[in-house]
Amino acid sequence: MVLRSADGNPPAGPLPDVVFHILVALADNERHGYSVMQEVTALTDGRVRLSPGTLYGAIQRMLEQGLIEEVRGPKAAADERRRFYRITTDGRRAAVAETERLRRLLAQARIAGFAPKRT
Amino acid sequence: MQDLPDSRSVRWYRRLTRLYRAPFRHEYETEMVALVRDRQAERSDARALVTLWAELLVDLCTTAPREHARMLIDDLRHAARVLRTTPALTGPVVLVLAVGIGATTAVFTLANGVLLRPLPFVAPDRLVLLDESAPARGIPSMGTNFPNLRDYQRESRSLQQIGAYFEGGFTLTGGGEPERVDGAWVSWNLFDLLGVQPVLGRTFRREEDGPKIETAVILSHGLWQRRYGGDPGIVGHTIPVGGTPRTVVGVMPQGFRFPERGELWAPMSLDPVANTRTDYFLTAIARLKTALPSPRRPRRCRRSLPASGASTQRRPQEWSCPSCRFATASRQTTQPSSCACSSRCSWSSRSRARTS
Repeated sequence: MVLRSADGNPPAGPLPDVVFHILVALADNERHGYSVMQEVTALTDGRVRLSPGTLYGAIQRMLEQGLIEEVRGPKAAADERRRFYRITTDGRRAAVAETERLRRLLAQARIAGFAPKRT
Repeated sequence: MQDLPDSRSVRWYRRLTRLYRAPFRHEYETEMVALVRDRQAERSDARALVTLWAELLVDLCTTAPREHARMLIDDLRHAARVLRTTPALTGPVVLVLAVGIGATTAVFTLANGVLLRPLPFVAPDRLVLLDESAPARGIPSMGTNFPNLRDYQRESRSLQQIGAYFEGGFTLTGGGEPERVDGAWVSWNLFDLLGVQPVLGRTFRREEDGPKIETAVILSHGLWQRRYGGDPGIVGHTIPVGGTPRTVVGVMPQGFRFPERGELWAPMSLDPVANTRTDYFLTAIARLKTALPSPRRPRRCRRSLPASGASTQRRPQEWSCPSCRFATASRQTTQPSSCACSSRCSWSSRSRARTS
């Protein structure tokens, strides 16, 4: 997987939390902004609720980095004027890489006794 | 489908999106407002509205500055990339910019200190410097002397108060290492004239500024803190100043230094007999009765200064008779029509006109 850090390219380091949450929310379906916000809230049991500035600031950066792309919304959508977003291949790779990083981190935390060991 | 009119909350949020940089706002304003509309539609009770607005305000306060900073960083990054590709141009450009910014900063610092920043005194537009000059000797500025100062104080009509000072250094001994501090010998009324009041104690009194009276001293706030540990009971204490015990009568406010770096002040205590009109070492400051309406006023003010006794003798060429050189001690601002020494010569402006 190639993670690039220059303008318009995917980030090289750990993904910001907001970006990772949005990628996870878009993993199975294309969504508009409000739907992304709702999905993130649901996936985190209400612990994370994205506000408009945070959400669209992140969306703008992710579009520039090619992690997501804008698509035409389904005709069946309640409001066709809404802008829908979909995860890209690069976005999926970035999410996988971030998951792997978190998995290693969790493994180290388990070894250190900070997290319960797997049964 | 017809859209319903936006609620007041949504309208307000739309206005607040102007805090974001324009390209971002143009791109996402509609979406962001729609999201707020959806959030509001979830629950419309007052508590939910308060919670929503708390979230929105926090969001605006954190993300709007971030978007502006991001734009700035993007611009700087782009500029750096362009400059890196043309080093032959970049070098001179950076050099010119550095010199330009440095020179501009230096000039502004000077102009700010001298012209823009007001003096740290009460009604600074009424403060003037009384300065004497001797153009015939090529001396444009020479301060004043003690007898002239007394003349000014006695005879001036346009000046409310006149004070003076001369700079000096003081050696503080006792209670620790001896210390040399900058300060000034001041007339008893100088601080009142400047409109600066002490934070502790008082300013000098007239009776403390007499010949050979060496009793009082005033400390700056910094000196009081540094050498005397900010002792609140310092006023009334006697401290050795240059080998002479002096009573601290006051402590000036924090930040006040006069002139420039002065931290300690004592009365001038000048002897009018010992200090003659040839001893020019005083800087005189005066407070006008009314503020200066225009920069021309000081010239008039200088003309109206007293011309009595020996001070008149300093400028006999202005009033002397062209025939016998007799100096007239007069307040006239124009040349006399005739010589005052009628017994010694018969010069008059008419005879002068005839001869010419």
